[in-house]
Amino acid sequence: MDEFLIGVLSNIGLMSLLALSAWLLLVVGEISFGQQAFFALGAYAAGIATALYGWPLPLGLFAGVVVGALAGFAVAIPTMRLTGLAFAIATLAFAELMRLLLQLWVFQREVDGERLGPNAVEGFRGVRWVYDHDLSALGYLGVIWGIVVVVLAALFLCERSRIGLACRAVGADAELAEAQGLPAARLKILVATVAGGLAALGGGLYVHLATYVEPQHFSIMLGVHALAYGLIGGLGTALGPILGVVLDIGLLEALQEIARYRMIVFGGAVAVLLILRPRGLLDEALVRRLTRGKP
Amino acid sequence: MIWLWLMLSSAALGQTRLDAAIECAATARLMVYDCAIALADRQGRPVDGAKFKLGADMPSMPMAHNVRPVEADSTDAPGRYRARLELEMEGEWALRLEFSAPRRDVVVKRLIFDDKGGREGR
Amino acid sequence: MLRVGDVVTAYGQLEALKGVSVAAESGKITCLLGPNGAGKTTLMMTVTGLLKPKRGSIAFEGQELVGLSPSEIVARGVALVPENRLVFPDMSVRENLEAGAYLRRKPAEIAADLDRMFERFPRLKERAGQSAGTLSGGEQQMLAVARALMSRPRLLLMDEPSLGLAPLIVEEIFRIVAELNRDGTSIFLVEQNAHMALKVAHHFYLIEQGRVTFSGSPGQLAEDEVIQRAYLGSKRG
Repeated sequence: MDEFLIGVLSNIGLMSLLALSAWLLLVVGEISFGQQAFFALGAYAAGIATALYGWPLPLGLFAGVVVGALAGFAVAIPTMRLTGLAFAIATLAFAELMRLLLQLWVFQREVDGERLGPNAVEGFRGVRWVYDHDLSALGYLGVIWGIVVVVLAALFLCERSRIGLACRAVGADAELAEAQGLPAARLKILVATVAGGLAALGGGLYVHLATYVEPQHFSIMLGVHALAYGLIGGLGTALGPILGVVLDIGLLEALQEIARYRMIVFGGAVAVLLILRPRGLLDEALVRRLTRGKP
Repeated sequence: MIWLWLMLSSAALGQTRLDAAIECAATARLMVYDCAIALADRQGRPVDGAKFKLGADMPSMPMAHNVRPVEADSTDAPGRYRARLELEMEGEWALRLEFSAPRRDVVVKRLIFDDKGGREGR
Repeated sequence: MLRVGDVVTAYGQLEALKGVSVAAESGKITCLLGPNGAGKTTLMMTVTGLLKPKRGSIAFEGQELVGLSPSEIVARGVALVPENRLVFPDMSVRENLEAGAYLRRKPAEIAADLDRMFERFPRLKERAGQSAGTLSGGEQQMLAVARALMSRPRLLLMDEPSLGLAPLIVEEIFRIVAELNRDGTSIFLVEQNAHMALKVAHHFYLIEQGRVTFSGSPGQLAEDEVIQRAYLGSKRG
């Protein structure tokens, strides 16, 4: 397979994990501008685990997921009572705080005669596990998409479960859901925790592909895109955010002629869609029509 | 299975890393740059015979800008290579040198591009 | 069955309920009448745990409800049909009903109840796969009632079920209320309009400006000149 294509597909897979993280919160009715912070935490944690302490990649990724999930939980506790704009601003403030802290954070160790580790604004270089273990770009693409498929399968199962139904009810109207006996706050915290872990998983995979990260990577631009993918693709199914990513990175990027106008096309598309299809392309009604007859 | 294989496969190779210095000059074509790359090992000795591709990523928007990597050509000067790179816009880019020889490796360099060219920043 | 004793609920400094005591008897339909802003919805939300009272007690079948979460209160057998915000609009009718059964664990029983709801509300069966938001106002009210019933409540609280509905639909709703009551569900109804409630309810309260100002049978209510105010829609409150 062509290197460029492998690169684009890898990026689509990685961005999908971040977009799914933002989408999960959209499902329970919360808009987060801060999922990039958990992506960053996952990247730093997994990178430190493999590059500084020599952990194998799977364990490093797992460490990243744990850190991301714990952070997601910790942020959800004080913010879950907030709704709408207040929640969105709180998540953005958290993400920007994280980015500023990463700009200050130096934590280096000498590994094989080289000083490695997070180095403030210079970033975190030398996360070479994939190269040191001679995993090919195609092989790593397989790892990324293997994980994306497993995550999607898990989300499909959840969607059909009573928890999934309850999450949608909470997302539609948290107060009504609570009046019907659904533990809205607890469900939101649960989802925020899972979303934190999922974003961190994406970050852990990302740092091992890029071999380096820097705080600048995790600005609000990244978070807004991740959020927009779910809004464009649709809230009705976990395939929605993936569709959003494919449309943006895949289609617009592959057509290099329009890539230069991409931000205009992208912004315009979001604006038009939010008016015509406020719950995205694959919204609940369409998903129901497409799956009608199937249990 | 794949995890098991990953964990058991060869440990860190531990060879000396490569170092690169890059400077790019704007060409007559918009957003197309001629880049000169100097490769050296950690002791500062020029490295010849390397095979690598030059790609780019935007740190301000990771994963979203995919630039088609181009093969770098060697020149007569020791440790010197060149490549013609087309970017999507001006600004800060992380250039990525993806080596297949002397061994598989990657070196990342940050450059700031404007209408004159690209220089390493920070 | 339900005893609300001297409940005070406040929004900040503003007391919406200033010591309210009401009761709902088992097997009966109790109706709380009152004008806009009298505290009817506040009382419903306090009973269901959505608002915490500043003081007072709420006993259901002898157990104190104050301090319990809304889901614990639903689990004890009290369900609410709320005012205005009736359904989850982007979920299908069937999913709305399933959400009402969230706290129950036996799929077979839930499926049986679902069939029973479709039998009682044939319109909902026709529209089972449709987004609830596309239903008419009357159908949404039916769905809200059916969803509340899916939790198998012993006491059903209904907050202004006739609000904004055409007279014919209101009649149908009250027919269903009477039916549910005959089948054994106790009902605590909140209304602004006494007209329909007079036909079905066994006991009435009147609430004005956060205080209960009348308690009596339908007969006493009809005689009392106080009711004329509520019946016609009070200028107060």
